[in-house]
Amino acid sequence: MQKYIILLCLVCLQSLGLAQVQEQVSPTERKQQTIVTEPVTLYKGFFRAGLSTWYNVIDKIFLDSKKQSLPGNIWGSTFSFSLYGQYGISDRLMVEVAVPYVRDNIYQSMVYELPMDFNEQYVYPRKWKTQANGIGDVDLTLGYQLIQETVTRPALAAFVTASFPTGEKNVVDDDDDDPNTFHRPTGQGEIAINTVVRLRQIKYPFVYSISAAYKYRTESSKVVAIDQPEVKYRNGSLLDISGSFNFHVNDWIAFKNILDVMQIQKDKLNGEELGEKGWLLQYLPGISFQLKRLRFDQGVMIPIKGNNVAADPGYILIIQYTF
Amino acid sequence: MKVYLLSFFILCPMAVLLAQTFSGDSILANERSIDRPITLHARQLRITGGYGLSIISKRFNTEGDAIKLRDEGLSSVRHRFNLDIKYGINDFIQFNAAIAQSSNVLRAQTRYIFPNEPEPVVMQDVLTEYSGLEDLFLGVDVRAPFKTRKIDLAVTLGVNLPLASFEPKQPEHSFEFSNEGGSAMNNFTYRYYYPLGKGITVAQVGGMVKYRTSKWAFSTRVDYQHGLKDGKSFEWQHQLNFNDEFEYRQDPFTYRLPDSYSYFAEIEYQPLPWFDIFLNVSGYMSSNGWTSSLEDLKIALPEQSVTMVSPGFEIIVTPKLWLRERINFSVAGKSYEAPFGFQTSVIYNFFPF
Repeated sequence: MQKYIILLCLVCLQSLGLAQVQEQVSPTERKQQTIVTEPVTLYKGFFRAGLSTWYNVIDKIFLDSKKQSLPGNIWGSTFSFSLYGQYGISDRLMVEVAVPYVRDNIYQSMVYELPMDFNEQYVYPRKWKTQANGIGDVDLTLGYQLIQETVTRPALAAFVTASFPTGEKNVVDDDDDDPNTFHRPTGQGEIAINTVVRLRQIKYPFVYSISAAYKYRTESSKVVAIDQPEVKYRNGSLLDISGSFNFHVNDWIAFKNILDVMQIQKDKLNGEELGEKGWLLQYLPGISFQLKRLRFDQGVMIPIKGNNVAADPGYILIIQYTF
Repeated sequence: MKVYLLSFFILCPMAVLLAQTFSGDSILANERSIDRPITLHARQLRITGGYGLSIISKRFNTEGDAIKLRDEGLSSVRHRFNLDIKYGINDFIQFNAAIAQSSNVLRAQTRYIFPNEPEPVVMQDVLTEYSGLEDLFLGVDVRAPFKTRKIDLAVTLGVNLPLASFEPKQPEHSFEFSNEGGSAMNNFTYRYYYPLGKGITVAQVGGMVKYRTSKWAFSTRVDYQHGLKDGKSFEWQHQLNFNDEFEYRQDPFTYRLPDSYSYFAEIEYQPLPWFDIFLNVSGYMSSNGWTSSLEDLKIALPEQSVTMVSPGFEIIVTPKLWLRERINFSVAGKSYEAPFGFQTSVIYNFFPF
């Protein structure tokens, strides 16, 4: 009898062991995983290339915690794109390099009216355009999975991004006689370190995550106005907390939802604090299409509430391919 | 026996209802974009939520030439959210309801007026905001009961009910005197607010045609809109009093909305069962509108027209859920804005009953 009991126990244990064998996923299938099913960092030996684009107009601002039209007659648009590559050094460690290109235009228009006599006046319209056009600040990111995800345990990952001042940091005169037209900078002139900690759990077809980030920015010397000497300028540091909830609507399309709140510290000019702190609550709805190894992501970043920050939605389109 | 009969009568309608739900779902599962009839299937409910961004940096003048608005400091953006609900009463009649909300702020060129000394310089900014709900549209489309699947024909009847606010809100002008570095300046900021209701009932009649081949579909639609009566509204006039505060009064006027035609023609190609690309040409023409002050002097509104070309695509995410996106280019027009924009719509279909 004892023999049968021992045999039964052994068979049971063996079957449990077999049941715990991990699902086998081929490398090709891994490269086709979606934003819901892929791990937080890239698999070892995988390379992913991407193009990320951003467009927004410059029209509204949050002031006194209310969305308002910008004072005066300023109109502008920002279009930037970023070429990036990611590489999985191990199943836990990945590296990413992103090279942005920035193109913004800001227009301002006004008219001067001077009476000549009772019947005539001199009308003098003026319009100005300032433009930023060129390579921005390059980002280098390291991502590491501190805890790898299992069916019952979420993944915990840390990402550290260093931004280098590769973009033009100064306001540059365009060599005409008008001090109101000039080339605006495409970079910040600073070294910045952004640290993100992310907790993520897949419950197929859903995936949830929560992230906390802090961006530390160093002081830089730069020209912020035409015909003025260099100043010491430090952009305010940034604290950011976000949560995401993504889910599959079919095998190759996923809806993205990100809610993000950030606080921006005061800028400093020659050591003196400038302006007010800013904060922003924003929501990003988006759709991710996974066509084998090719991925299209699109979304709109919608500012909901805030103070002392821009209030215009931004349009995002991302194309990625995993090799 | 009674229990069996009762169970039979309860179970039969349930089974019929369930069967109908599945039959509806299977209709949608096998239906590509080009196959869809121009009215919904019986008991089909379609809810469409959409968002459109228009960048208005050009305008067509009365001669039809495109003027760059940013040169005149009048560029703006419009955000528009729309919700459409359609219900198939049977396979040939559908009910439509549509409402939208939009916002657009125009910030005019800043004016600096230099009067003779010693009067201070006057700086004037004008912001005009157009925002709020648009009028509710209700309509019925009736499809001809043709046997062939190649062609569909329908007539449309509808009405825009003046449920949205149409009288302008009182302006919020402000005045400030500044004296910086010895140069005195009177700063005026004028803020006007206009809602988007039309104030009168507008009737609509039109027709739709769709022709299909195995991978292509061609659709056209024309609608005519006519205001059923003249409307009354007012403009706000202002005056700065001795306390440097603005006083406002209403200046009434009557108006007639212009009669208008809207048209639409679309070519669709379905390369894959779940993916459809299309190109549509749509437009709007209006004429015969006027406004009149109390003296009964009618001033004609300029004739307006615009033609837009919109390429786009539709993805059938699931048989019930579709995603449709398009880009709008304004190619011609008269006395009308010439926006460039994007429209994204999410469409959900089901058979609730």
